[in-house]
Amino acid sequence: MKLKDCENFLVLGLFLGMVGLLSALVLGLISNLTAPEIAKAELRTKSAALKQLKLPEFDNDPTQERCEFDGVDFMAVRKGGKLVGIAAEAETKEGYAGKIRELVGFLPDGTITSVLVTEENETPGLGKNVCERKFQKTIVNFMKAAPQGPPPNPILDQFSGRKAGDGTTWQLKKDGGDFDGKTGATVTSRAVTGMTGKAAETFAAHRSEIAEKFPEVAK
Amino acid sequence: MKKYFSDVIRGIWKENPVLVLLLGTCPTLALTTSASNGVGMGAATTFVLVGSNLVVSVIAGIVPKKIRIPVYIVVIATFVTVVDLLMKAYAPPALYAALGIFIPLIVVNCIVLGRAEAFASKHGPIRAICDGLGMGLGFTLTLTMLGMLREFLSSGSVFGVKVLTFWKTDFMLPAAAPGAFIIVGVILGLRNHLRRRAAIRAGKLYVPPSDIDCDHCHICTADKED
Repeated sequence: MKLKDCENFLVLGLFLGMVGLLSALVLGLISNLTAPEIAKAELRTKSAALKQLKLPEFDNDPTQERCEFDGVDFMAVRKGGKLVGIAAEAETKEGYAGKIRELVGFLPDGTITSVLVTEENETPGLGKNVCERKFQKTIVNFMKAAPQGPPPNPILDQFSGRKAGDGTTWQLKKDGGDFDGKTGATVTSRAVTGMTGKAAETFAAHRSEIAEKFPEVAK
Repeated sequence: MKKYFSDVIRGIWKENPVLVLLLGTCPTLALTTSASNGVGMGAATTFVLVGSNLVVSVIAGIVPKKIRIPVYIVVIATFVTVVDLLMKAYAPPALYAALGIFIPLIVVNCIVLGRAEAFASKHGPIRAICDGLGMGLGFTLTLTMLGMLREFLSSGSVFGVKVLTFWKTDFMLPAAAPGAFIIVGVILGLRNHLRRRAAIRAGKLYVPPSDIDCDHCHICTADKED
């Protein structure tokens, strides 16, 4: 009897098992081949994001030295072994379309240098504009290179220069706080503001523990 | 030779997977917010289509009839995972971030399984590759066109380059899901209208392609039977 018309369930099961095994072999091979490249690509993305944080110049890999408090991930940013800043990675589920992740750059004294949203799924045209730092290419300038440094974003740039404990209320103005939101994207603005506030306040609250980990942080 | 060529061309216009077969509507509507997304998704699907068509046409002779669909799905899922891994490693991070969750969904894209079942399992490897290439190209071209249209209508830019520099505020409808339905609907209507008018001009009754089974529906032919 030909295999094509076979109806014996044992043979069928065995056949399907063999196909699955073969595909697992192929996938294992490809996965092994691409694993180092994937790790490299992820690191590239992350260090490119860290370079956008307007931190002082650094030469270490901040992702190697990290500690976590209250869901905020702190990374030490160093130049020549000396601590020049802290990068914090925070996350919120209060976005209009689920999770938003961001990187916050701190100077060692807790002042925010810059905020960069790394992961979001907000509405294009509204919430996305709150999160995005994007250099708009136009037909006039698309041949020229993009200007140095992160492109401005009116909502995210409000946080620069603020720090926890200097009287800042980490809320939108319409909720009685200090920051402007974007019309039509209140939920996203609120989420980003709250998340940045949480990162700054966690940094202030756990300062002594962070100082134990990274001794150069002033207590 | 002509046969292979027509296999490729057929997918691009006559049996365009999005506009005629109406398959793969999920990625079509969800991902065409920008032209570059369209190109990326189209390229990924084309790779999967060509690969799965080739493998399916080779193994179709020995796969037991009763379990052919699960076997095809395993083959397709393997190719999709390969694409996922390759894109993670080599694609620009922004593109992978935009397409990320839709790549695994190529597994359930009807175009891929549809072509495996309807074409690749009945033809030789070379014709199957041609068909996969044609269908993939048709899909890519349609997605890119839709992406360009939606991106242009919503922000006045094409491939991220702003063409209308005075356009400051984004127009949200074309970039959102309802806009996608409206635009695809208008294009479908326009295409059907053109095909029908061409058929009437040529003095022929418009007959839908025979391998697309629309015999149960008389919308296209109702007003011409008398």
